[in-house]
Amino acid sequence: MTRIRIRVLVTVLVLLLAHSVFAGGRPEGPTATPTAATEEFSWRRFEGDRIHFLANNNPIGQLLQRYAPEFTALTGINVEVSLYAEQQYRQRLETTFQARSDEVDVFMSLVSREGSLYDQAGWYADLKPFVDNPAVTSPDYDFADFGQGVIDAGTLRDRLTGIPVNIEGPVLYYRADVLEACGIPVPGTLAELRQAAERVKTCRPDMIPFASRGLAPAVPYTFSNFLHNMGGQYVDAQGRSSLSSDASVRAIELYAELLRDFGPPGVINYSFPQLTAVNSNGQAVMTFQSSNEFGKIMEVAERANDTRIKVLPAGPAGSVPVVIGWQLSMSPNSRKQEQAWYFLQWATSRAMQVKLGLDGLAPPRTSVWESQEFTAWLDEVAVRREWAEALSILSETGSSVLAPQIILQPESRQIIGEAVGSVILGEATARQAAARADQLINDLIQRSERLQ
Amino acid sequence: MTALPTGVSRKTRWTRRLPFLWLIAPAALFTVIMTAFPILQVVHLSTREFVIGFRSVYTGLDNYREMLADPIFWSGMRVTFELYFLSLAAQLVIGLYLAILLHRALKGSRLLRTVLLSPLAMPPVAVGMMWLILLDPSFGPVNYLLELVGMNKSLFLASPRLVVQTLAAIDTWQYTPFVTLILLGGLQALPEEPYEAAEIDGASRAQRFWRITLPLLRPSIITASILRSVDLLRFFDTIYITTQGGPGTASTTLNIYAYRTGFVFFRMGYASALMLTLMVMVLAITFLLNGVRRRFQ
Repeated sequence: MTRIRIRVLVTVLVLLLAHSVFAGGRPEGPTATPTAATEEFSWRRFEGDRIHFLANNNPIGQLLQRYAPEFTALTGINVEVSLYAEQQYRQRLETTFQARSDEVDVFMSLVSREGSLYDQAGWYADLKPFVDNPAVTSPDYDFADFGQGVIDAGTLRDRLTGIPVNIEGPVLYYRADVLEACGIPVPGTLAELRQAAERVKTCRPDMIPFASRGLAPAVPYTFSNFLHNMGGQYVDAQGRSSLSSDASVRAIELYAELLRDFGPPGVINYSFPQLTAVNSNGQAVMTFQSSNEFGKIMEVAERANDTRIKVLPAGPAGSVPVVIGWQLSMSPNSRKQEQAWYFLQWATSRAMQVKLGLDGLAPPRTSVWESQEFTAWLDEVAVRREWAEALSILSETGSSVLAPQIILQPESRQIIGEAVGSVILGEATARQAAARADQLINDLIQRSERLQ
Repeated sequence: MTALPTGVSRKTRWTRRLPFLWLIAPAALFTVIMTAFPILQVVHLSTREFVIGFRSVYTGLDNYREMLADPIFWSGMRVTFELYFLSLAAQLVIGLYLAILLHRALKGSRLLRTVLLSPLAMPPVAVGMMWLILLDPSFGPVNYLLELVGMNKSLFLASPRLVVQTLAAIDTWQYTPFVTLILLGGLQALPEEPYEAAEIDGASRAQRFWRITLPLLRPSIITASILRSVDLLRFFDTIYITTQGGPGTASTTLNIYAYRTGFVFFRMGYASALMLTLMVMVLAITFLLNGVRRRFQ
């Protein structure tokens, strides 16, 4: 009898264990019942609930973390903000998605980079039903205030994958005082930029003439502007990688030469933190880096007086700057999608966008640029106005093509970065590096096509 | 458990053992699931083209074929072994020297022991961050000091020529105390008699070291080598923090490459093939060193 009891007990335990291993932890999908459109909107509807926001540790993530208590005060919803460095935050996010976990409710996403992959994998919740539902959307949200361009960029296969939270792109920060003291005119073309770097090197050997990104996966963000201005492109009309075209090779040569001959030592490992360091401490005379870092750089009082900003000078093919934007997206596995939507609309509301703008984040809402608070802030210091003008040019004439537009784009960015890096290091000529990159990217294009 | 009396039939033995086997079954099942399942899953994935978020397709040994033709796999293998041999050799030599130093009850050896062992207590991520700042070519204090004594600045982690040596030096800085601890334990357990006999025979210090200390310490040296080998072949955290495998692929070990392939580029099938290869290498070296240890015991 005892033996039978033990067997029964053990069998039950084994079954329980097997159930917990094979079925445990996997949510059955979001179960929240959508609020009926006839109900009246109230910010306090979900008081006492808790949501999880997974963010990149860049100025956007940092500022939203700083202001999150204001959201809690407004709605009564507690927000747990997890900030990770860019690579770790993506890894955490993707692992969460793969496990179909409901752990993350809201996340930051760079649609120009991972949009296609996340969309195909079903990792974005469609926000259109929330925007259109007056019961969960504040009457003063004014979705139409976002430019159609930024909304289109985040709309994939007719689904709204996120709400834009900023616009950004690389801009040229330069020490006007140093250029003036050395008698060097502000460069108006890429050829003049190279000449200016050369003259700075002679005039001020203690300073860094030119700095930009050298870390492989980060390179396309800045290099793409050189590529566009030199007349190069990532993919030709036949859909094949075209880094080996003459114009593309010249762009690689110029970018690599600027960093190798006039860049900081160890530039091959530089991304935005290192650039902001040499930019803020005044060591770099010309720095081509993210407009998002403006707020941080201007925290050093001297920089507001000696630094000026403009878009990258034009090349043989004119000026085609790079413009991208981070968006806030919602996890399709979230069990608190309405609460998550509250956070999304608060973070992208006009009031918050003004606040983020005053902290140096360029707002995607048209009305913020025209608002009295923002324009007054811009007019306080000359460099702020230049920053705003550069961003205005970016949003009007910019391109979001930073790599071949394929599902496996992140890998293609690494290949492009490594090709440019090998030229910076003198391990290959631009033509050799481009030919090798073309071969790898063409393989990648084929692999991407197989996934579709 | 008491031994069963001889003469009891096999069937009776099993019948008597059955309740106990049932009792350990949950624990055994849990262990099998927790260890065997992930390995089997990796084997399974390595035979598929699987991109996270998309349906996987069976491709047989294609991932392994691709791996053999992949130049980054081979350069990763070279970097992995370069780092392994450089770090292990440095850690064994310096670790032995420090163990001998600490073994002699010198004045202040307790303080010395605390100072020497402190890097071991630091998390590898903090160590990576610390060295990243110290070795920064633009504003790092190490280059400042080099210039102060009239030497040229060095790129260290940003130089493809120096990056592996620099990483080996960082790992040596952190893990030599671990080797020292093992060897110090070995030294303290050595018998006195061979040394007394050697003294009577008039053996010099060097002879005593080469002929007595080193041979007797061999099991401890091999133990330290096995433990460090497993870690060094999977070298990840410091590289991830300091160089992310760069410049270019100069510090891309197999582990870093597999991580990037799987978690940055989403190719879990190929990453699994890489990880499985690395796992086989680690196991082979561990078995080899274990065999050597048994031979000397």
